[in-house]
Amino acid sequence: MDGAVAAPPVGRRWLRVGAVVLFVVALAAAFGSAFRGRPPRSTPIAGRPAPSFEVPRLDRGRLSSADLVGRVAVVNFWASWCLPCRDEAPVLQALWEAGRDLGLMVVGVNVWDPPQEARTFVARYGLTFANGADRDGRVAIAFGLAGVPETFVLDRSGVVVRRFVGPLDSRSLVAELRRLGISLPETAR
Amino acid sequence: MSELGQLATVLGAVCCAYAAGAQAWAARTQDPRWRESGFRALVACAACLGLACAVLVYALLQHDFRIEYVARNASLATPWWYRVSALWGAQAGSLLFWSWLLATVGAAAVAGQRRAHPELCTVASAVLALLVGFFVVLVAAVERPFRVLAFAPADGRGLNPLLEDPGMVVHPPLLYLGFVGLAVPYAFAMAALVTRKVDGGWLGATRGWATGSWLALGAGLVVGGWWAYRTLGWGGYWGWDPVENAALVPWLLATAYLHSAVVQERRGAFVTWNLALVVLSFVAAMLGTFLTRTGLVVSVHTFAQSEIGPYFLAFVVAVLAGSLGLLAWRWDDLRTGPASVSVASREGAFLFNNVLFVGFAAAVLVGTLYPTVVQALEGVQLFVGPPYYLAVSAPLGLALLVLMGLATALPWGRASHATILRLRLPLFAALAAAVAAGVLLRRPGVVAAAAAVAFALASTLQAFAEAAASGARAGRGLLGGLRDAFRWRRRRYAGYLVHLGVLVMVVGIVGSHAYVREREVALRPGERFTVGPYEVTYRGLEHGGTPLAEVTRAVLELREGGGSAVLRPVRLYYPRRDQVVSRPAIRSTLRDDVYAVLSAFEGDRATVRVWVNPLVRWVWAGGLVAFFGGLLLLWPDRRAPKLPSPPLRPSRDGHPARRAQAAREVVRALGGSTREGSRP
Amino acid sequence: MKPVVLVLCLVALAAQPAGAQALDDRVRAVASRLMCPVCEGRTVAESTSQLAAQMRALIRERLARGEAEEEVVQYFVDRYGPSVLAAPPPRGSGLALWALPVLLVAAGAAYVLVRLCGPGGPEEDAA
Repeated sequence: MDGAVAAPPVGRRWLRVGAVVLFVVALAAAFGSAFRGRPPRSTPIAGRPAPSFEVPRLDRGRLSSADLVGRVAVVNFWASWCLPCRDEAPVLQALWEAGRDLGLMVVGVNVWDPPQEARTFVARYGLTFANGADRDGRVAIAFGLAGVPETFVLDRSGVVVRRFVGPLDSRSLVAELRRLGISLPETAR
Repeated sequence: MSELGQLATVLGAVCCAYAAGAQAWAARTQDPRWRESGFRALVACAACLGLACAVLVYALLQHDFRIEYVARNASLATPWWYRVSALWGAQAGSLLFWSWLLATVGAAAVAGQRRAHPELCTVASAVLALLVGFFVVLVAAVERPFRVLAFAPADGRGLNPLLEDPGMVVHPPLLYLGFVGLAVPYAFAMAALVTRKVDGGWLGATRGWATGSWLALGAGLVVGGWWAYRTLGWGGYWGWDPVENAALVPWLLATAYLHSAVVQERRGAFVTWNLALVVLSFVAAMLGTFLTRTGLVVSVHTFAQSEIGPYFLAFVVAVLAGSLGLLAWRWDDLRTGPASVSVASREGAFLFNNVLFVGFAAAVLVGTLYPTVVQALEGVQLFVGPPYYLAVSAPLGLALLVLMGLATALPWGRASHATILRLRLPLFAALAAAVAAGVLLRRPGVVAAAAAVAFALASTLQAFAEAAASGARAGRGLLGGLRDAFRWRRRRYAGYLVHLGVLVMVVGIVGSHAYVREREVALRPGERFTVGPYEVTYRGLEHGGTPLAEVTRAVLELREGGGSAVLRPVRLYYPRRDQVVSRPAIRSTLRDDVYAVLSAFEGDRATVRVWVNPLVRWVWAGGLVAFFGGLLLLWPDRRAPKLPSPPLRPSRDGHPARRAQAAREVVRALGGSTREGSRP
Repeated sequence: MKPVVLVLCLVALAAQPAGAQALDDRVRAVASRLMCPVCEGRTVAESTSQLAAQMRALIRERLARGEAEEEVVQYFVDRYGPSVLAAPPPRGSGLALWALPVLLVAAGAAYVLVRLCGPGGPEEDAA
């Protein structure tokens, strides 16, 4: 090292150290805030017309988006191996039974499932609303599906007004339907 | 049993606290008795943690399902060697294992350097004791591998089937060794800053540890890639996943450090830079562990979401702020004036090497952390994936290859005419390779890579040829020349060997990325398709089962020219874990790998995905060569007969050459080696 | 000279991948630009999930129909949002990400060249 060099004023040292520590803490704060959890996935489909689709039904015939025109529709994507879907199935069935005469349409679209498993599922939960099978995943992709279950609420003109990612919150669903003019009786939850 | 383990862990924590305190006191009073006591406490801590690990392994081997960790990670059907590796298979056990490794490595490092550098060792062992202390407290209080269940289940859940693989037995310990090994140069660097003995004593003392951890990290990365390739079934070996990147960043920084440490030893220069680099490497290693263990960044590798996140974050922040703060505090003491370095010299090449490696590490780190930062600031979720990393690593990799070839030919100090003559052959090789690749392969990226690889390869082989030739000239024969090179200049030539290994790996990497072929087809039995030069016929499905899993195999017949082979990719379903594992079938030759995966099946129809990955074997072969070279690097140099060292003379004049000479003397006196026989 | 040129041209032409192969390469190129929505951190090219396989099939169909790669990527972005991209575009805040390595390496190289490089020390043996 060189010979005697005047040590810098202590103030300058503290300033330098302080700047470094501040920078590190700021970086950490940005990180720490990430612990709050991940933001919900972006849903570009909200507010846009639902994509048109046509799929074979699990029982007989075909299910198409044309069937939904003019009515408020609840479109639910499910798979037989999906645990929350099993909890939802009775809720949707009850919704269908309560709402079909009030102008509500409930349809299910089965994705990522062999057809036999899907039919077993429908039989087990006694689902009477139309269920289609999306064999090649085109409908799922068109709706931007990123998992099951997901439920889309469509208004009478076919625009997606609400998207539920994950298990249904039936209270919000009923409130949404009321906003669209479908008032369900209390017993339908 | 579990009480013993928990007790051992707590005892380890107490020993650490005592060790840190004793060493701090010894640093204050310079009392050798406190120093000895603190050292013994660190050793005791390592012993306690070793006992705790042994207890856990014993419990795993004995199927002691009362302990929650054993119940979650082992089962009656798990073979004993995977039960042992379950020690590092999940969060709590791997933290304990990590703590033990850190304590042992720390104690060994201090033990080795105690005689030579007592003051440095005092502070270094205090730092190490604090580091170990953090992890041990985490294990004892938060993660608690010895937690006991209310009742012992009849059978455990078993290890994640993805982890039941020889690669997964070896990969975590190697990585952990690499990470904890970086703590040693870090602790000594901190000691140098605190005691103001920054002149290279710390560097020489920890060079072996730095090399060892670099080697372990590199080996861990390659083994991890090998495991992922053989097990995960997506056709590749490196996905630029955040957890992979988290181990890559410290390795890149450690590589930069290995090179610039050589410059400091030779010229006494860049002390500050080396200190900063050591700190950054260690912090990157800690950050990497943090990212891996806390699931902060979205990744396929994440351990389950755990509670240690906030503590770990606080730890990383404290380490980073403390180290950088200390560096800032001592900044003025570190300035030794600019060293005179010529651009056209080996020092210059090493400096540019550092710029590139650190730039690469920064790019990978920023890419890994970017989604988290953007999420915190804008609330949007983004991804940074392979397109970014490939765009960054290709030009940097090319530049590094060119530098590799240049640096091998450049002398220390200053280039001369002889250097230009030396570069003729590599340049010619590069040109020839570029032309050949341009005509035959026609892809600009591959042409550039071929030229760079040829340049570096020719330069490195030339260095070996020169050593052999000088041996022949001295009458010892060509082989004698090589033997002498490895005996007297081991570090340099082992380094060249590592470079050779890396070059072979680069060839493999470029080949497997640029020329991969893949097809995904849904088939009925008897149907066939072609992929690359191969014809694949699907023969049907085989069903089977083990006690733990339902097994479905697809039988694929592979034909090319004359030869044929059968591939059986398998899909396993583990009902107890509700997990599906898809294992590929790989037919591997030096030319290419045929890699088949069973994506889905229904009845006897199967969807099959087949890749043809050229030159993958070169990646593993190159890795082996580099590993062997790295082992040679660890082997201490044979010392030439000891020359009398001139008395220490502080340089009062500003002449750079004399100052460099003085620095060399200081380094020599402190035990670093600048002697004839061992010059890098 | 002419026959040599002709042979070189033929060799070059022969080195072009066949039509079906080129489509596979393009599918893989597009698939590696998209992240699989149901996986944790895997691109569509790498993912083993069913949705990813279906997306690959859709990509193949659209490319075969004559769509450009950019259009296919945009199709998925319209439905899944920008989080489906495997790397942010170099616009807006993404610029910081892409520019950083360039700036860092350039700054480092400039620093080395300007501050540190001088005549150098005495030349020592290099072999």
